Amino acid sequence: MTDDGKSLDELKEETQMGTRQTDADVTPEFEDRLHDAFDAVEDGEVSKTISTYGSDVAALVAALEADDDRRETVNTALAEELGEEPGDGTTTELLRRAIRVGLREAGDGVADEVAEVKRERADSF
Amino acid sequence: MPPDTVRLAAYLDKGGTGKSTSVAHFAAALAEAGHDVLAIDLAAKQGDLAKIFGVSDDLADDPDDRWPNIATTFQPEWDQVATRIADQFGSDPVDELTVETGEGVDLVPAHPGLDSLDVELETKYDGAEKYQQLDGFLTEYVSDYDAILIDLPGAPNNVTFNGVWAAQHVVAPVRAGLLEAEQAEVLRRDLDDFEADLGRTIELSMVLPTMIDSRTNLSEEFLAHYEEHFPDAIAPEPIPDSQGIPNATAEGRTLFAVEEDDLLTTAQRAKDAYREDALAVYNWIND
Repeated sequence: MTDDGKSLDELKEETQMGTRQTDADVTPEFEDRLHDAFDAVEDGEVSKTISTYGSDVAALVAALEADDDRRETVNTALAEELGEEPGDGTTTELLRRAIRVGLREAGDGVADEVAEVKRERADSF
Repeated sequence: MPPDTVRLAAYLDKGGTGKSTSVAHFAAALAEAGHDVLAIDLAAKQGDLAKIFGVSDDLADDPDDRWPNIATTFQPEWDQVATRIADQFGSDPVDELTVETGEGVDLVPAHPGLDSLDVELETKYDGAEKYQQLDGFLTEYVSDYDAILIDLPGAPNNVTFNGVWAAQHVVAPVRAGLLEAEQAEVLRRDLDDFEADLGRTIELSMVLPTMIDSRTNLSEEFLAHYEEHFPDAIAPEPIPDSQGIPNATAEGRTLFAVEEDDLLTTAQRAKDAYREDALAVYNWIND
């Protein structure tokens, strides 16, 4: 990998993974973080757009974008899994649903925590 | 890597079969025989090797203070980390990861960061690269050992397959019982599939029956099953069931660090079996 001149402290910050599991285990604290994150998105401090790196997924997305029928069937299957109407079935919608289904299936309860935080925020209005 | 460095990973897709105990005792046995031995613990949740070798208290309580650690070596930034350490401190970066045990074995302990590494590997690397990071680290940075023994999680994930890829030789500790008999056969199929999919030669080098009570029919049938199905890989000596093993490891040592006079008969037999099996698999791989 190219050496981009980062200091050890910067490299430590980027590669340190020791506390993530610990943080995830502390549910109340994580829900506070979720509230903060929702606030930050609403205030425009955090982008509503996310990106991810990976050639396999990139290739899959490109193929789905080029195949309307297959994209629709995948999106419909994901929507059914979530108990939702399929909607327009855009690639963005499909990916959002794929992430949600994945987190519901094997996300260590994080999907439930998001749902709970959304309920709390709705109740507060 | 010197051509005579033996790498061996302990794996079975099941917990409680004696993987960590076997790795620790094999490592201690090889060290006793005069070999330079490195043990690497990739089973993050348990961190058992540090406990077995009695060095848990030497590690910082806060995992964040233990950096770099074994999980760091899987990261794309590892080469930069190693370069900075060498430049700034003039030290071997591997020394930053390693603790010396009292049994002549160097240990790279587990770190909680390994728990999230499975996903990290999936997102940061493509294709077979996600299985190759440990091999790259060992080949590039770890050259001073005759044997490298790797303790793996009891489940197949990207960390596990890094260990299998790097070692190419697997020892499967199995415990008497029908389920375990099936598990070893599943493991052999898994390794065959892995080998076919990735084009990497993987050898089930040793099936190691552990916790064997020779007085029971179940143990006898279990051993007979393995001798029939794994004639080339069955360990020369099954490890007898001995309370001396958990007694020793609970005190932070293997049987090899217990005074001979303090070993009861079954514990002495277990120690002798570990020694014979460790040297056998070392020689099999080296030949």
